Amino acid sequence: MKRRWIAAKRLRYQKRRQAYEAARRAEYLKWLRHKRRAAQGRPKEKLLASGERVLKGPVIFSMTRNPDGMNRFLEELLRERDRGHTVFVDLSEIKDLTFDAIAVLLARISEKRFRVGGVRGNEPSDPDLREMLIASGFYGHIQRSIGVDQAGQRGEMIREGGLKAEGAVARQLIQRAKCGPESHLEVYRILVDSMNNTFDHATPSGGRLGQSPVRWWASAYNSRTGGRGHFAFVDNGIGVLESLNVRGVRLLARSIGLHDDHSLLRAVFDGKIASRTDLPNRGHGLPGIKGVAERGVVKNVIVITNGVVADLSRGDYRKLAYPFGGTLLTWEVES
Amino acid sequence: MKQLTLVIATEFSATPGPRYERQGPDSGEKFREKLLLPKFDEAEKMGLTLLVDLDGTAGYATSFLEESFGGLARARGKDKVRATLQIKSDEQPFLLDEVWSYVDEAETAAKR
Repeated sequence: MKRRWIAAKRLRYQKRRQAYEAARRAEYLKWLRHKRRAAQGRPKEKLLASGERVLKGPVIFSMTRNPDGMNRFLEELLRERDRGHTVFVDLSEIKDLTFDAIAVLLARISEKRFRVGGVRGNEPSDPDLREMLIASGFYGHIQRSIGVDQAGQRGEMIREGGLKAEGAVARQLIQRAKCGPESHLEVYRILVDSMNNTFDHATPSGGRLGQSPVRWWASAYNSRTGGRGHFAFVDNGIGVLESLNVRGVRLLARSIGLHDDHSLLRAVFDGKIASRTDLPNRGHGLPGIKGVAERGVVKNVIVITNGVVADLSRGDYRKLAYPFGGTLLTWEVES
Repeated sequence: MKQLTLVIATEFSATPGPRYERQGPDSGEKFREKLLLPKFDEAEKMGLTLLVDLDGTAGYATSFLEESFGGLARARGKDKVRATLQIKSDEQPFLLDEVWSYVDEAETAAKR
């Protein structure tokens, strides 16, 4: 009787010991994997659940202040999703956050490929940035994707999407963003011309050949404290420079000495390169947006497309190390 | 001199849209075909000028203005448009130069 009790006790002990050893071994293997990744210079990445990947947001989470870092992050986000993984966006370590980056991230994860179980995430550890993200209404716009307490809270950010150029939508966005009367008309021009460009130029065939038009996203954010309205217009199309490739405009540009992408984009905004439609009365949209920037009522007009970032308000065009797939326009107005 | 007037904000739309109808509602193409050309022809027939008032709308995309006024010049000729058309834009005075440049460019384009 006594011996039987000792055997049962021993079996329980052995089971506990085996479980403990298995857990320690798993911990060791995890540590080893991280060590190998670090030695290879790869970012720290761990498998949370089956098929889920962690992707760290760049410390400077801003399209205008860190376009290369953000483009690299967005590229990885899409790549991981295309491999079939759910992506966990880790924003805990970010130190800087701007509205344009929130708008771009929302536009990206609004794509079809993210609709079912595509992306999850956490909040910044920095209390100010966390407050900004929550106040922007970020979680309210992604309630389908992220199940956090703030879901449903739309905050101060207004977002509209569409396929066609709709003046009524542009006006609604401007009114809800509480733009001053002076900037109202100028912002309307940027929005409708941008919608028009997305409809005509964001697909490889330019809306012909039965290709469905690309969706655009326009966002406005009027912070309670800043006294400035921030706008962002994003499309996930082919981008301004890629659209020039379609009809050989880029080849023609090279023949007149425009070899770099940034000088080519400058020529497009200066109205020196015609629209890809080949019609002489077309191609006024982008020079028109540059005109708005030059009149100065609308501030900090920045365009990021393909491999170039252009600050239209300062006339500064810069090449990027990591290209942006699509077109982003951001600008600010006095409230 | 007597004149006909066409106020875009009240007679057409407070939110003028893109260039063509297929691109979105309240396009420049629709404005030109439904309102601008008939009124222009009427004014010309009666020997009057046509004053188009751009004020009171939410704003204008470049493509809307080019398709409307550049399209009018392509259809009726720059000289006739210059003789008959007048533009009013107190809210955005730079639009006057812009519209007339579309009229001038339209004829140059048509000659090519």
